[in-house]
Amino acid sequence: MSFEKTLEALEQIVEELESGELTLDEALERYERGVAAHKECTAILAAAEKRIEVLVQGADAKLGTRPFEAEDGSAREDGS
Amino acid sequence: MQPSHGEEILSVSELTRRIRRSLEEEFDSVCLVGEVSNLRRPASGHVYLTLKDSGAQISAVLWRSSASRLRFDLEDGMEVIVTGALTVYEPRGSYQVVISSIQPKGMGALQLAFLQLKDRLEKEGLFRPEAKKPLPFLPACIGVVTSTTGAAVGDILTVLARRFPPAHVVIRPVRVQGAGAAAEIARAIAEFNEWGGADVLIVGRGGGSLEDLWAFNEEVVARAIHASRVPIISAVGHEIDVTIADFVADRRALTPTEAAEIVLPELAELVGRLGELRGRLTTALRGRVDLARARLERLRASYGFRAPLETVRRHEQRLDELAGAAALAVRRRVESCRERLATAAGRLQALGPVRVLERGYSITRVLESREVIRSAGQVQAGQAVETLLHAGRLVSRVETVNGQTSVVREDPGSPRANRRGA
Repeated sequence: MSFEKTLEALEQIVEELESGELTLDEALERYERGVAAHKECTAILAAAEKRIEVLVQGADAKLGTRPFEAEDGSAREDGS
Repeated sequence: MQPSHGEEILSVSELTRRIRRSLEEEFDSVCLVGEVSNLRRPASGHVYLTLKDSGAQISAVLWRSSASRLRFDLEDGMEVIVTGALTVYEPRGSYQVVISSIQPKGMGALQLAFLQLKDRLEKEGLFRPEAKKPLPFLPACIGVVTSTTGAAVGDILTVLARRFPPAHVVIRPVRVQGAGAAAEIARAIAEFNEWGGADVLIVGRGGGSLEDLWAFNEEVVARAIHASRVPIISAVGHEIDVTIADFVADRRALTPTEAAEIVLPELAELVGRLGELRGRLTTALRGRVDLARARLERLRASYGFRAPLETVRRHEQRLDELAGAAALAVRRRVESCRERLATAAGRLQALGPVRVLERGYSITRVLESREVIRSAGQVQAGQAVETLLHAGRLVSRVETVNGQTSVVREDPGSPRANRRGA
């Protein structure tokens, strides 16, 4: 499940729990699911890894990436 | 027919050549306004038209090389301002304007081209809201199609580094202005789709003149954006610059900086939101458990739950009461027995010999055998007898034994006679 869907699920679980309309069993079940959703979201965020690359075409005509190095901005094409 | 006054006889060609020279010299650069009509575009690529106004008309031609540079589409009925030179088409003896540049009247060529393409693509449905793809909330990889020498790439990377430091960005450098830029941009978009590694694309550049931004108004770019399966954020120039790319894109960012703000949420905010949710989750569950516990406690304290215990207590109390009553009853019984005993004892005493003795009777026994003497015959003279009185006793010796009546000589000093035998 995507981060957004999981986060939405977590929010809904919290709201249900806060509504106080659940049975104790349901509340415990929601709590467990909520904790799992939180863990999943946190793991997704933790897994993000900074990378800046350039899309290039390899010798075999396949597209791949290589690390990006900022070029000299003196020859700017746009004026902003 | 005889030529008069010795005038020079000219061939048609010669005259036409002279007319041509004369016209071309006098009208080597004209600028005229008129309405386009009778527009023809044969396979040669040259464009033929007639320019007219209410009073006259003139043929005009746009050679292929000029026609291909035209940004907007010529249409019949369009008011235009053309610059060109007058020439004569000798085989037909007609004169025409060879157009070097043509402008729509009342607006710039680019502006008209923009409006025309916008109108056409809109009719084709490229701008339909339902055709727009949703952007991913948290893209794992962001593709950027822009120039690496422009300001846009720096702006995007700076904002991403601030908002979401671990962002993964893949840049496909392209020229964003000049001849061929539009094709490069379109190819880059297609390549990202082919590669498949990016979840979302930012396509754009920094600010510039309408001419500078033109690549983003070209059809090839619009088509590439529309064909892309990867959602695209357009980010061209400044807020006031609107391009065709902006209309086709799934989302328009006003600037490259804003595109970077749209494409990823702020990491710190996400982490904060997650933390807050975690806290609310625990608090809510704790509340629910407390509620359950309080309810349990209420039940435990309720009358119904206490009842069995109460019953036991009641029975215990009853038992205590019974035990007390039993003890009391026994005590009473003992008391009553004791009273009866006392009564009986009293009566016994009243009937007993002691009281008789009180009244002056006495009991005589044989001294030795303690046998109570009821008749005189029981004793013989000289035998010792014992007489029990109310107070004290006497021991005496029988003097005589006299038939039925025995007279007992009492010891001197004892006035009492034994009047009755016991």
